Amino acid sequence: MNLVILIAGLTLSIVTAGRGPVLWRRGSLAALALLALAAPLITPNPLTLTAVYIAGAAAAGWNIIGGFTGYAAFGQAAFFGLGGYATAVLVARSAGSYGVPAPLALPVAGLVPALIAVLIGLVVLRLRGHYFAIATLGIGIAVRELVNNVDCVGVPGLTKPLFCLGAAGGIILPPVHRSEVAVTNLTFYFAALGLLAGGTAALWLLNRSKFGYGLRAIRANEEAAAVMGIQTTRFKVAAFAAGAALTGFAGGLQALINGSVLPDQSSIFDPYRSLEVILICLIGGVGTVWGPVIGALLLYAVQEALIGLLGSGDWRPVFFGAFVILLILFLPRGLQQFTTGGGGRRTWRTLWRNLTANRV
Amino acid sequence: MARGDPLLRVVDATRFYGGVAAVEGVSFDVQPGEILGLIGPNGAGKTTLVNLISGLTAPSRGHILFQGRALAGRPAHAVGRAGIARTFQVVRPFQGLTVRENVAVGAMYGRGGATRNAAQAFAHADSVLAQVNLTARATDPAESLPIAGRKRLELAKALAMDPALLLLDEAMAGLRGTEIDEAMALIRRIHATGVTILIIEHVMKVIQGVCDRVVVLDYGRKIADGPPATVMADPAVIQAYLGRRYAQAHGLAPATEPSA
Amino acid sequence: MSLQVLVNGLLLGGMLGLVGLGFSLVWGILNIVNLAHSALIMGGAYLTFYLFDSLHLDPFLSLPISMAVLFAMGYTLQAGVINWVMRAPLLVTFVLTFGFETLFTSLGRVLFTGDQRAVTPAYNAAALLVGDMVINWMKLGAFGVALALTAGLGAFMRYTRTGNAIRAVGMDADAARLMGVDVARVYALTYAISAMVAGAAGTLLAMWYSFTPDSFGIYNIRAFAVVVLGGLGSVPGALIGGLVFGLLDQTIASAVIGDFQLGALKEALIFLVLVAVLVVRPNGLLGREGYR
Repeated sequence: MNLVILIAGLTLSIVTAGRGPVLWRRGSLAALALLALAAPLITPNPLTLTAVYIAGAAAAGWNIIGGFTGYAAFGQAAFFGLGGYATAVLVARSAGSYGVPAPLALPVAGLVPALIAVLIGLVVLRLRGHYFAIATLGIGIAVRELVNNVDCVGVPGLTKPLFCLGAAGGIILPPVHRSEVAVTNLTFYFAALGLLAGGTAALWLLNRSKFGYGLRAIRANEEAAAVMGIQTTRFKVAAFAAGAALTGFAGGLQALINGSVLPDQSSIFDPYRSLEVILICLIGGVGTVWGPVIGALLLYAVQEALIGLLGSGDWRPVFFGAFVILLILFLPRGLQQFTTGGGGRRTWRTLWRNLTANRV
Repeated sequence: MARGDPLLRVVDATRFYGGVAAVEGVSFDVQPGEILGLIGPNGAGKTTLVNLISGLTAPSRGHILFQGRALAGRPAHAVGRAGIARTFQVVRPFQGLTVRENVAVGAMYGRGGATRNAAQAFAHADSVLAQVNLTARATDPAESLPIAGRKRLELAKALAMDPALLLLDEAMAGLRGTEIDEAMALIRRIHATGVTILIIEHVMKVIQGVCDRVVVLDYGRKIADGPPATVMADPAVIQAYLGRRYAQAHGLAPATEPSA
Repeated sequence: MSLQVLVNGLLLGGMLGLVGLGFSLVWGILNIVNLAHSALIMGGAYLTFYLFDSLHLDPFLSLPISMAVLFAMGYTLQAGVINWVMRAPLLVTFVLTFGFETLFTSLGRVLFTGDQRAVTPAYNAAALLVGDMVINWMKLGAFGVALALTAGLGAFMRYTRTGNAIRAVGMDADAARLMGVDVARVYALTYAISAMVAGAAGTLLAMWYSFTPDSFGIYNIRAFAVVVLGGLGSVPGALIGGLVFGLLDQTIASAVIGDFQLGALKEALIFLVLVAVLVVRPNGLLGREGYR
């Protein structure tokens, strides 16, 4: 059932993002909204869709720095994890945490990754190309290791610690609702939906704002952008922080769903997130408003179909790696190549052209 | 700024790369309202000088004053916002943006940018596009323009910044005869709107046709400064810059040395 | 720094130099940050393990085998796939090699299981005692092999026709093509040599540490560190970078502040040093573009 919803949603969002008649696009957007609102009634397991939305929102965060600004960040998992930890510290009721209600904690949780992104960005955004990419890859590892070693941080003169991360033990979160599981899951579903809708709206605004044009000018040519009066460093850091915040919100929500945060690789700092957000944007179109939505829907539709065929488990990442390779070879610019003109009968020829375009 | 003060004052501008001076001890003024030509053979340091003025390169020594305020060492974006716009010899359209969007970026962030929102920036971009005759290509991707169109786009991007001083780095390179005439007419029209222009050019016809005054660089140093006719007759300039061919054609130098 | 830390650091550094050597070669010549490098090292390590486990082949003797196998794999990979994206933007090649890393590592998990493996020949604990220093013979041997391979590759690049062709392509692929060099073949050969060295590094690392398929991802970052510290695209640079990194690693690992073991934050600290170096020298400590 989820697979059907994902495919329907994918079709509608492609039409919405495309260059068809306005009426078509508005109509499919309305249908998409309707489908998203009605989906939990149709499917037995809305948590799968919740995961899609969270992945999409995290990818929308990457899209700001990696897509619009053209800085290929490979450590977005760090911000996802930091968002999760910030939420956990606020929400948990153990020592060194604050017991804030989840709905209040979540908005604040985006600020922590943003703040840290500003500090990191001021340094690493001086690097370009390969050096920036791999430096951010290192951030993902370094941040997780740091969290793994921090238990409580205090301020001199204060008896109670400022915050506790629990080192290797992580933090356990209290249940969000005391009511039954189904209600809790529904709450998460709509929270994630809201986050993805908000993230997409943010990209839509960015796409037509002065700030967004500044970022795209930087992506195209940083020197030429600076000469035209764009404060490139400030813009890049702002984009990095905004992306970290959005990805951080997604991580915060994920922490609430998981009920705990741990510093090991299978938890909130899963380094796979760093690849996933890039992949989603590559599928849907890097630097486009609807890219994260389309990419997340397609990626998870494929995964859903695959679980149906192979079951979950060890083979999934194998397939996944193969999928990445094929995608890069045949559709390096993602599905947007089909949504914005072309397509139709020329599909196979387009794929072949993509494959041979950059051959030596 | 008092009356009669220069718009731009370059004092002892010097830039070393390693131990080599690309520009050394160059001083000159640009008066408000003039069109100043900057010429010199390849490698004379013209582009380095423009980079120094536009803030892309920090000078090793010297001062640059714009409207009486020090510019040297300030970042490129501050120079752009202060009212100096430049074009690049190798044009740099923002790929992935349309022609109109390219120009709008200039309107958003140049001297007049702070007071405009996105919609107003686009309106301003449209008027600039009309001025450079690119309205018909407004919604095309910037990279789809032919070379002459790209040169005009480069100019439009700079113009949209409402500059007080426009630095044109070989805006004519690669253009054909009639295209050069059109571009010269365009430069005169821009000048007529009150923009001061510093122009680097290899095409002599352009220098003689539009410039009030010419500064000549050779090996990073200034070797002449004056009205085009005077400078062109200066033996040092003929020797250093205009070279054998021009000199021979005008009977100013002996036709002896074989070509290198 | 105690003498023992110095010796440990140098021994490890020789190994890390070998880890970085292939990575540096591909980056310098092909302009690709090869994230599949760690998976190639994994290949060499598991090959050595299985040869030792089932045929009781001494790990030093499996060295030529894993080098040959990885050379063939590398050639196939580059000629068959990566050559098709050589002129694509950075994000494309980066994600492609990331895809290979995911594919190989997860295949490794399926095929080799997640069990801890170790290669333990009878002499693995034998040590040379100098004063109060302990130097493991096997590690010393591995260090020797690493140095020999580094020197060999350096000589190959410098003195052979093929090596010169590779360097020419690294400097200017278009010019090399005009001079009659088959660039696609040189790319494949370069990647194959890089994979071969990675295979050797895998064999040696298998003697050094116990491992699972997930133990190798970290070597991409280490290789990157070696490149940054030693400079991009030079054989001696990789060795220098490796030695510097080895000393840094062992110094941090042995340092204690109060009752806190600095080693717990090793990766983060090394990374901090790297970023600091990059900010001061954006092309690495001894860096230049291209290959020397």
